[in-house]
Amino acid sequence: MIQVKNLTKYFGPVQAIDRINFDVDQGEIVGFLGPNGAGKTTTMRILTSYLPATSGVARVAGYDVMTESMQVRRNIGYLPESVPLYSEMRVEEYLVYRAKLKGLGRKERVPRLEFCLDRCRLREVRRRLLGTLSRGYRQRVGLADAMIHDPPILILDEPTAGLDPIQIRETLALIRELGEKHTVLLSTHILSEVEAICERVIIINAGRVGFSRSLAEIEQEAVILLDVRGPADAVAGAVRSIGGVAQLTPREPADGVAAFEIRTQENRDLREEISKAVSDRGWLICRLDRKHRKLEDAFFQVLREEDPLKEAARTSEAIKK
Amino acid sequence: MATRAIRPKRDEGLLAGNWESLPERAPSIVRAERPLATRIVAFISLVMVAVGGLAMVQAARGKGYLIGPDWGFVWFSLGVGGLLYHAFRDAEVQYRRVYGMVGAVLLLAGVALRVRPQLFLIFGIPSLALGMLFFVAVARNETDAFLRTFMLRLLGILGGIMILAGLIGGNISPSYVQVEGAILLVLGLLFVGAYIGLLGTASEEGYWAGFALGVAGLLGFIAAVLQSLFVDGFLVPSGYILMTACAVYLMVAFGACSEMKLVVLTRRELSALFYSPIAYFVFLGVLIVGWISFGMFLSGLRGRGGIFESFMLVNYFLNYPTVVCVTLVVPLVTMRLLSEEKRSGTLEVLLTAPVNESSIVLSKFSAVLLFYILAFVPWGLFLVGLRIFGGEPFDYRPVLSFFIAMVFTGAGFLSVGLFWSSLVRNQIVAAVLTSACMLAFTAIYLVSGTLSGTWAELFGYVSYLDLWLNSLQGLFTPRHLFFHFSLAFFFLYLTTKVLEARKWT
Repeated sequence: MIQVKNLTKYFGPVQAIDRINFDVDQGEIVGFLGPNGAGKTTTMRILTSYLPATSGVARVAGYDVMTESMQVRRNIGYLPESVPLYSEMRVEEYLVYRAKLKGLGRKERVPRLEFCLDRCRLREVRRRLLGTLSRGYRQRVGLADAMIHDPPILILDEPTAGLDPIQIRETLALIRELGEKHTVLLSTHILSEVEAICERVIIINAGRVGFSRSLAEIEQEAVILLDVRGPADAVAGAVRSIGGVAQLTPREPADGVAAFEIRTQENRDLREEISKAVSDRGWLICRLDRKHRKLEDAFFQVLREEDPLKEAARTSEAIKK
Repeated sequence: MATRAIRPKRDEGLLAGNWESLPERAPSIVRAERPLATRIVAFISLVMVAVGGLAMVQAARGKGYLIGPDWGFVWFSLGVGGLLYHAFRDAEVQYRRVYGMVGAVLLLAGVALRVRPQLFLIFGIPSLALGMLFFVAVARNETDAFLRTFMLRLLGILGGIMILAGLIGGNISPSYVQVEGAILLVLGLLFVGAYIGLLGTASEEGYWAGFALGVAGLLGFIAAVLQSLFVDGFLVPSGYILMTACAVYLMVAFGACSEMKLVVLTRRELSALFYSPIAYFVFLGVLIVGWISFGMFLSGLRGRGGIFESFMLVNYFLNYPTVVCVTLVVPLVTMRLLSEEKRSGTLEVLLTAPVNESSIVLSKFSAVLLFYILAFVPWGLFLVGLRIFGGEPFDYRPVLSFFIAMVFTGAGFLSVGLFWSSLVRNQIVAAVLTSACMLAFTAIYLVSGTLSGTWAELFGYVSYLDLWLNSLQGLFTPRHLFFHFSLAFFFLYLTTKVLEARKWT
């Protein structure tokens, strides 16, 4: 439903996003993660055709965001980050107005409005002025607006920001339910929300996609942690010789204990083989543990990785100075 | 297409287990407030109505009272205004019932007075209008669905009867529409407008009422055109009055019911104008300036022994206050149009809906143009009042051409204001820039007087004051509208491009 190829955006000299690529399939709920200033909102604005990309192609629902912007906008529901609303309108009046703008006919509008008021829990405030609503209620109005015309694709920029703990769960449950029929791309800073509802995550950092994998894949990935009382080099050699070990990284050693993080091919559980290899040589195992990776680990790993190109650019800049 | 990932089962996290909805606790309870200040206003107003009313009654009986009849009228009007304000604000049930009764009595009295046509014009019409206002105020706060529906439908039916009377009566006897018919056509529109406005065109009933109004307008217009074609002397003024009224009906019906995006956007813009206090200040300011001009004009008329000549209209419409008025109104109504949307970020929401830039610009423009025309309508109504109550016939053509000139020059100015508003985020900056342009336009008039030859001719096209002056003196030349029309077109085009510019790479 969403295809992004080599999308780049400059704001004057500032590079906001840099050749990002990703796809979102129909019916997926995808979490869009990244630190502040990573380019999430910019990417979303390009996808909604509000901003043009400097280069690259983005297609939403099969339409190009640059050349077929109107069809793109008909097929998306967008919740912007700060939820700007007309403060002088009333909740119901605003939603009716938006429904008309989005081309909902008179007959279908009424039941749809009632449905959205119900699902976003706005029934109690339908007669209130938007300007008097609290942050959380504004967020709900924004969500109701995004889904009022039942679009196939929902693009939600931090849909749970400013909500109370109950409402966060309500909203997440709603999004999960919407995800059964709709395609949802949502950005957030709260990783546990992504773990709760998303099937896949895309992590961007400094304008690059660092990572795009399904949560199931992430969780399958496991590392084996090994602490051994013995000479570090010899232990490393012994472990490397075991078939199936893909990568061995030393961790901080502590008083004579050599510590390693071991990755295996196809995430095989090699604990028994390792234990055998180490104890056969007479070293003592202090710890042998297999840890599943969590989203948080993956997130921080992406942030730690530095893009080699960028690093080169930065160094050359430093030399110039 | 990739296969869909299997959703992992989770036993921990935010939606652990089966998240069950909790009942909604928020928001805060709405408490009925006691509008003390409003009630004080109501009390004072009641006293003013009593004193003013008595003063007028006593004067009619040839007796003196605390104040003279003129002041009595002023007090009475102010008091009625205060009571209306109270009726609008105070939702408590006793007050609603009292004002509802007052409204019903006024409406009944207005209808009953129809038996005496002379009295109907002087007392019946104001009584009907006031009754309508009280009904609107009460129905707005009414919680009893039956009463509310009853009041609204009564307004709708009365309005329908008035419109039908005006249209049918006007087509049967041309002289009818020149006095009572015209008033009924206007009043009927207000009644039906209140009925539709309070129902909302989102409801079936409101939608069909608007539809019926449109059909009435269309049929009436066709009838008036046919009559004008085949009956000699029908066109002026009866045909014109009927056609104008029907055209307005059609426009109102279309504006209220249409779901075209341009109309939907325009409707929102207009309502946004009326939600802000600026609109009321502008209305009041223009009204007061018009009133003063009219007063000066009347005293000039008395000075000439009551002989009314059309060149005197120049004194009424073209004063320094008029120029100041237009110079102030344009920046005031245009300054926040786009700058506010940019500042608050609502432009992003607007432009990510399936709406193109040109319809946004056009809708904002047509909303302020409508507002601008509405603001100056009372000036024309003063003249109509003079015609009806003073029995002074006058040449309406200069007024008509002045109106056209006003609309065209206004369109040009407003588009300039809209353009500045699209460029900046701060509405004050937009207002200042627009005012500067307005001053420049006015300065051109002053400069063009000192020039001769080609320059004078060139500036003659640009100077809006020359255009107004000429149109009022019956020297209306449509080609002088060209500059203002193209000004509007050019700046609307530029504004659209400014909005599109975010997409240029």
